[in-house]
Amino acid sequence: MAETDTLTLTRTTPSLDVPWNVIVHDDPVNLMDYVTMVLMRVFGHEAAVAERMMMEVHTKGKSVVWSGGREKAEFYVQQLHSHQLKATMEKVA
Amino acid sequence: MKVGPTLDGRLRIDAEDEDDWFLLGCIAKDAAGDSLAERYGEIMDGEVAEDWREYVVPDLAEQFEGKVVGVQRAIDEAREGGSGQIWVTRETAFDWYGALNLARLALEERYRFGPGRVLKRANQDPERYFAYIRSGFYSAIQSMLLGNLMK
Repeated sequence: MAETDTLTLTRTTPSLDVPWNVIVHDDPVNLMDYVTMVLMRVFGHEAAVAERMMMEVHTKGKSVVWSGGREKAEFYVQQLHSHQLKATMEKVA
Repeated sequence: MKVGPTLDGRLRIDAEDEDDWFLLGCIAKDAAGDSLAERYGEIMDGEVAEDWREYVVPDLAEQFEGKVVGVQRAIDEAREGGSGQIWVTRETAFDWYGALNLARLALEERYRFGPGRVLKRANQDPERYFAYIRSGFYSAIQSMLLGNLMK
């Protein structure tokens, strides 16, 4: 055995892929039909689903429109901002 | 001013006098008075906010400016060409909608009209009332774009 041995210690940190919610917030400017259209274009939601989400934004002030990985959530929020919708993302509690 | 959809699937805006050109010129001026991209950066979650401000906000600001510049160019060309007619196609409809939206968002940020509020002219600050009228005018064009060119 050599005088100096190298001990390799491997530490594994569990990386949980915590899901994120993409949230659209109400604002007094965006037209309701436009919000529905953007939700259909960005997420590929069916018209009925997009309309229900739009109504939730309108009546409750916000709606979770998508949940999933962080990278994709960032992409979607960027798309929503690009369409001038007020959107945020937050970790699912 | 006359604004309406055409049979070939475009939207035609006819500017008939100086007041009309002035009103159309207000779109870019109103939109320029706001920093929407930065405001969006400010509402992002702390964990992503820094990257957002560094990478996304400048890109968004550039996108927004591009829409406004494009619309102002179309207005200038129609005015200089002498026809007084501005044609919005399906290809440019999203940029027009976006520029009008930026103008309305900027006016809302500044004057806080609120959703669906009807302002009466009496007892209103004239500047605020004119801004309210402009916002309504922009919204009417947006509805035509949405109903005829964007779906």
